[in-house]
Amino acid sequence: MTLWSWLYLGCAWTAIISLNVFCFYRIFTKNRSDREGNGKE
Amino acid sequence: MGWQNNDVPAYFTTLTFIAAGEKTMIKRRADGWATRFGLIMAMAGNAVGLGNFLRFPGKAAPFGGAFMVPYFLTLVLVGIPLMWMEWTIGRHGGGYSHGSTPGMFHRMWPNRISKYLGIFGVLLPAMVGIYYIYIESWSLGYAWQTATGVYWGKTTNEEMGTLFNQYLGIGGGTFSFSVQAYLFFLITFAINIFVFSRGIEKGIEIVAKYCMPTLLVLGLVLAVRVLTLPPVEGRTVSDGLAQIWRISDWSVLLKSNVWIAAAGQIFFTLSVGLGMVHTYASYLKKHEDVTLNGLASSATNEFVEVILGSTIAIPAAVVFFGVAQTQEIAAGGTFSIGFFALPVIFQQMPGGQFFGTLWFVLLFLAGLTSSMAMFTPLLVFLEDELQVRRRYAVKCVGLAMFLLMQPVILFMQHGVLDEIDYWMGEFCLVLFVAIETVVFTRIYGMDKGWKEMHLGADLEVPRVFYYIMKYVTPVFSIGLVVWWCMDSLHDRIFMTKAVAESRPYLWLARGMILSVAGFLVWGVWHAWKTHPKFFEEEWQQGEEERVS
Repeated sequence: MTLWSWLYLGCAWTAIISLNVFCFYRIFTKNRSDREGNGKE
Repeated sequence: MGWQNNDVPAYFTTLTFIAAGEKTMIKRRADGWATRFGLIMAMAGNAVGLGNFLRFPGKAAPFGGAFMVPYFLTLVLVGIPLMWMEWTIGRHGGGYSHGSTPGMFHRMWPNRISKYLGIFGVLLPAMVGIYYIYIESWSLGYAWQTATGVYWGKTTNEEMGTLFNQYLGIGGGTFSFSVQAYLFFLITFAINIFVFSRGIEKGIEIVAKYCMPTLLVLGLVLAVRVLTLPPVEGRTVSDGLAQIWRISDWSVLLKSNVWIAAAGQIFFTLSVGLGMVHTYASYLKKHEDVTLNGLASSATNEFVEVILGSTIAIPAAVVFFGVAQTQEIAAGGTFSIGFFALPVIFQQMPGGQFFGTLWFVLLFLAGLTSSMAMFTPLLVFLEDELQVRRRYAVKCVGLAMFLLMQPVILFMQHGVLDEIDYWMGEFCLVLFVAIETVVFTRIYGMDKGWKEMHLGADLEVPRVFYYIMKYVTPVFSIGLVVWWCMDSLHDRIFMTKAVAESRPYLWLARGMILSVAGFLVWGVWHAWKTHPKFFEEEWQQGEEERVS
């Protein structure tokens, strides 16, 4: 593996992990706010 | 535990009856997703399959790092937009009580032929399921063989290849049969039927919620094990990763085959063009999100494929066999790495029996989370459109699929499995993708589709995807169909490369496909003829409500 290959791998992995974190963070925070909203009602 | 009589009425808790001639019909099932996490795990599980761990490394390795460039481009330009389209089509159709694509297409395009075009979304998953479950059962069989050390001592690929043929009962005779393989097939089939017979909430969702996290943990354990392997004769894991991530020859990108291989892999890995995403999404309510959920399930699949799938098989093979032999093994077919090379490697690895068993359990779980969805569109088609009671529909589908699986198992060495795979898992899949992109973007209309997609959306999709979905995705999909036609359709239709002895068996495979397709054509014709009001009522009202 060259330096560029590691960078390529690193960027791809970071992008995929970030996308997962972004999606699931939004989903779980949305679910929590929905539950709290429902609880207040 | 089976279905009891009192389970059936409980299942249909919100029945709406509408009179259509002399028939009284069940309008909508009460089954659905209990939790959002369960939905995403099931959708991701539908996408995560054997292809993530076996097909992907086999496709990527021969092209070197160049493969990943078209792979990521196709993912963004075609894969994820298609995922959003299918979620949207499914939820839209589900709103009109249609859980399979014939009814969904009819609602988007009220034309005489639209419902017949939708048949692909029922036919393809069912026909893929009849061989996929058999392949899945090999993983279970090999997990058992690894745990009990049956093949320990066979330390070459050739020996493992012979063992593989023995396991499947492939010899010089007419039939390919072995008691052991058949036993594991029966177990796998029974598990699949049990799960899908329990429906979405009590079956598929529960299995996905437990199997997907387990699969991720197993994948991570194996990935860490491979990444910490010591060098063997100077070869390191880094050399293995280079097979997927190092671009040594940029000119590979000028060849069409790398683009086709990458696009094909994206379709297979996301399970788009198979009708299963539509059916799962049909259980969503009108204002339940599809954009964020669709993206999350795609992201999970990519994590499993790109991060875990690229880290296990190829790097391990390179460390133990070297680059040249790994390329040769990868070129030998999808199963060469997983069932020949890795068992040899596990025998040379500390704790290999444990990690080998984990590997095959991982493959089995990946297969199960995909296969349990494959008969669902057919089951739902019988329930929704033909108004068959669920218990009866489960029995019919189970029996029919079991019978259809027998020629696949018994005549596998004559190419029955490959023939069905080519037509159902490759050519018609690409064709169906092209059809649905045209129906969604051109006939239903991209403006309407975009609006429908964003109903209740938790994620505002960037506007650039509007243009990608409108222009790039359909053009790319149609281009792929044209390429496929030019590349292999003539040879396949006229069997020019098939040996004479295999031709009757290939005709048998085609007969099986055509018989199921014929039944579905009859089913659609019968349903629309006997209770037409079901397919018309609420159309205007529902559509106006949606658009407003």
